[in-house]
Amino acid sequence: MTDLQINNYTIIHPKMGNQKLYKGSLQTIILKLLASNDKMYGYEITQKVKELTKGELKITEGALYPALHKLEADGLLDVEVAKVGNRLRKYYKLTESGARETANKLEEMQEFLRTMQHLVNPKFSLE
Amino acid sequence: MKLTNTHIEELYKFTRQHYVYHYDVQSELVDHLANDIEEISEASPKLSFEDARDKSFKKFGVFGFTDVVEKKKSQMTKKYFKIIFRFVKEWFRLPKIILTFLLFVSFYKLQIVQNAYYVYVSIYGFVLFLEVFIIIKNKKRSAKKFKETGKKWMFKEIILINGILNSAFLLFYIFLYFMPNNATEFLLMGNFRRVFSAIFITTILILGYITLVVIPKKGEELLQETYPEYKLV
Repeated sequence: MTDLQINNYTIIHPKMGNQKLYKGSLQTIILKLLASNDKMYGYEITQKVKELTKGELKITEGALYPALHKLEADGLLDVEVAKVGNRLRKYYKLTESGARETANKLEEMQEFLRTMQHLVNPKFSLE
Repeated sequence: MKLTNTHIEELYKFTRQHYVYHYDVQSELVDHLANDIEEISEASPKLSFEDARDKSFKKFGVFGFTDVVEKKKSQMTKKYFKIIFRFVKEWFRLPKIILTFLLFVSFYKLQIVQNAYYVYVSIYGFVLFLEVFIIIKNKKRSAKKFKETGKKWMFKEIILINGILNSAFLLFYIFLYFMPNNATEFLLMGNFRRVFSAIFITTILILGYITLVVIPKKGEELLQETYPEYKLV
């Protein structure tokens, strides 16, 4: 599965609907990005999401950091800090249980998308 | 525009002005703002540093950094209670479980003595007093350290102040609502409450020991585990 696929299945365009639909998926998006990128820092995550979704989905800063800190407190993410130029940069990476949880969350997400497709568009099937 | 050291200092000051007082949270936000400011000024080179900074800050929404700080605090508190739980578990494994059991049995047996209530209240009062005393002492020490280094660490503050305060409140309310409030009532307790009281007073001692002695003693180790940058700065 490529990174883009998470968003290929989106049912409502964020500009038409609202960003609320994405809210519950924020953790899954973060975990998936970290699964394919080894380690990332907060700003990099916001940029990567913007790039992958061609600017359609913007993760707000006020939501990103609380989500990262929660995943860290739950033991799904580990942190590394490096001095980059004149500032400290905090990198996040998946722990072993984080990698397992990513697989679970992606499976749940697929299931959710399938169910939603059946509900909103019964004739169209992803399979 | 590549940000200079002065700009970075400015950004630390900016986070402080927006109610972020802990260095660990500040650093992450400063790096974020700095990256964003560099990108904003690349797109519009005429924009001043201050304007680019404000533009970046606006992206955090109307509540600014408040949500980030609040959520971080609750995650850190959760982490602290997980650590307490880790140490409490030790008291239910060999060899410590023998001591736990002995404490429980002694407190339970003690209840037949006329003045048992006062022994219970004294232990409870002593632990609570010690907690308040240590909180005040640590608060002063931490203010002094902040003056020297200019840095505060959120988890350190939880270990030395807020965490102890939380457990003091917890004990206070449990005693207030679940324990008898006079010696006569204490003697008339039913079996269930007698067992509960003995468990409660044993817990007070174990919890007090863990929050006041064990965790602060391991403080440096726990801080390094939490903050990879702790040694770096």
